[in-house]
Amino acid sequence: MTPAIGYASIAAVTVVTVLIGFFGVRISRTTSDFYVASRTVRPWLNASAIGGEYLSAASVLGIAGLILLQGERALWFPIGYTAGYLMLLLFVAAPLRRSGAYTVPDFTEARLESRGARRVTSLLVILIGWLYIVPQLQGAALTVGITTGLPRWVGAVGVAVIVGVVVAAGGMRSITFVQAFQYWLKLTAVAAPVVFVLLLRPGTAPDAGAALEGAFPPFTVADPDAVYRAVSLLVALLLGTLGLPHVLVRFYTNPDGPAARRTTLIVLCLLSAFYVFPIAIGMLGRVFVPELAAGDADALVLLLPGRMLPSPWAEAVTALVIAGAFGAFLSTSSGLVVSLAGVVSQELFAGSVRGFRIAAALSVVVPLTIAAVTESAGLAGSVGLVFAFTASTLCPVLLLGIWWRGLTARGAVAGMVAGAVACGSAILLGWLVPDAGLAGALIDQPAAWTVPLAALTMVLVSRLDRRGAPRGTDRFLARLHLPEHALELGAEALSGLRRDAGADGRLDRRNR
Amino acid sequence: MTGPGPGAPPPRVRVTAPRRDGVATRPTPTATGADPAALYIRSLIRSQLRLAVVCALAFAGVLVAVPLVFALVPGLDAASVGVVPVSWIVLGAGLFPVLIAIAALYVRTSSRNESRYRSLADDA
Repeated sequence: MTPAIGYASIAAVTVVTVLIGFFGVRISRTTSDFYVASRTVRPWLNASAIGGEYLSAASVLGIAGLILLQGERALWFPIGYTAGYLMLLLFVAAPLRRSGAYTVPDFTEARLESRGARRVTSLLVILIGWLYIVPQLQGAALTVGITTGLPRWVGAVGVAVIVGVVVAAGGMRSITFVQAFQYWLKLTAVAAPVVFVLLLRPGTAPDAGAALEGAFPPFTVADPDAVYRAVSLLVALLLGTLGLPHVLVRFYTNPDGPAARRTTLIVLCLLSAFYVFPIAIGMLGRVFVPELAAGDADALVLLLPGRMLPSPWAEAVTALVIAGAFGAFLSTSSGLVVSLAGVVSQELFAGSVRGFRIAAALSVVVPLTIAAVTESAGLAGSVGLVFAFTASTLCPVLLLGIWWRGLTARGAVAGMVAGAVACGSAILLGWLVPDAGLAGALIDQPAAWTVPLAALTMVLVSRLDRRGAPRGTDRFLARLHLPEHALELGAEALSGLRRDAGADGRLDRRNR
Repeated sequence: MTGPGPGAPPPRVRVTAPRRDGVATRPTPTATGADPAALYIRSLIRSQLRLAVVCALAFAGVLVAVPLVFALVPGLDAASVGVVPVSWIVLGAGLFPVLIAIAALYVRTSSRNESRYRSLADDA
């Protein structure tokens, strides 16, 4: 591959992102601007923005690579990544929007009327954000290494520095428009190789039937180990999406509950349209370049155009793919760093400007360190583990908090801690003991047992909690589930809700 | 997304649904007590939960059914579109329309639940 293409694409996408990021500050400066803007953000634009922020290195590079490597087992990943939004739609979207909470910690504090529950949630959000940024940096390392020939760490450090500096300097406030643009850039980047390969090499199906036998092995459900892994992975992906901090924040831009639902429906359509292409690239890879599986399978998307297209097209499509991939690292990481730095500075530095900068630096330095000391075990897999952790901690607290009036602060904290300890130690064990036989499946894909564990702990401890659910619970739940018009019946109704939900008062006080 | 001036996170401001002030005042809706309003709220929450669970189970059923069908009818997988076996097509592209259909159905039905609540609350 010609390094010049790599340098040019990476430079171009970085400059564009940074420029739009800084110009965006002028457009959207304060929370109130953001709020005002939120009324005019159409569901389509908002959905594109959610897609742009969500589709990370795992989706752009990881899925095609995993299909090349593992075959049809890997097809569960794109299904799970997309179906996570179905769960979000069914159980969380409208109520969370109506709660008025901006982040998950805001939600737990308001629902459980407990600062302690808020702190635990914040800690988990920070941990999840760190773990999520790691594969983005590893993807950047891979892309830069392959496309420019520079040492790999340059890519990880590069993205970390760019994102850290831009966020700390006040740019890249996840302007809806930038992230929406990123979705369409990524869609073009993964669609181009498929479209051009099919157009320019129409008659290139390899003639040997034997090669195809290997490319698409028949379907099997005989192996219990594989079945458990698939089920557990789906649990992680379906439920993990519910708690992703950078995704939930976006729902806040919806004017009301029904709009939140419509947005989620569009997100489902956009993600479905996107994932068809990495799947197709994975299949093309299995037929035409199966030898890539021996090396960096995750690089399939980057290398396929160069291997399969004639000269001017190969370079053009490769450049587009590199730009899309690098855009994915930048947009997902900066979205995560912004939400993380917000939470960290709020918790530790009382929300000062200096605090936000320190927090932004911390938010990239820690994942960079983790990325440096751990080997990338496949991008889709690493992101899958983060989903498992989210599903075991934040998902139960959101689900029970929204739908079960019996949840108490103690129950929530106990469940989150139980889920975090169980899932966290499984992840650590998986790093330390790579091959552990049958127990290996339980460690590699922990969600199937850690999610029920966390949820059961929450229910049991809440039941045993003599203090019971907070007094404002009924009002809070009414607010989550009543259609907006019903709440608009009178200013009195709303002020009544405010007065009674004690946590609201606390939030307001802190804000003064 | 977080804040005002360069680098500074803004104080968190609670933002609520747009409201029309000064419209006719009514008793505060709550979920406690024995009044009909509370009953309606509870039944709304219950019907929304039931709807969500049914939709989730429907999708889970599809997820379980697909591999089972391919396992029980091995001949099915011998069929292929071009060079790609049917199982790969179904898993790779066929489940997405199902997802979208369930989601669209849910969006419609949940709104209907809410308008039913509204008409009940208005009558009360």
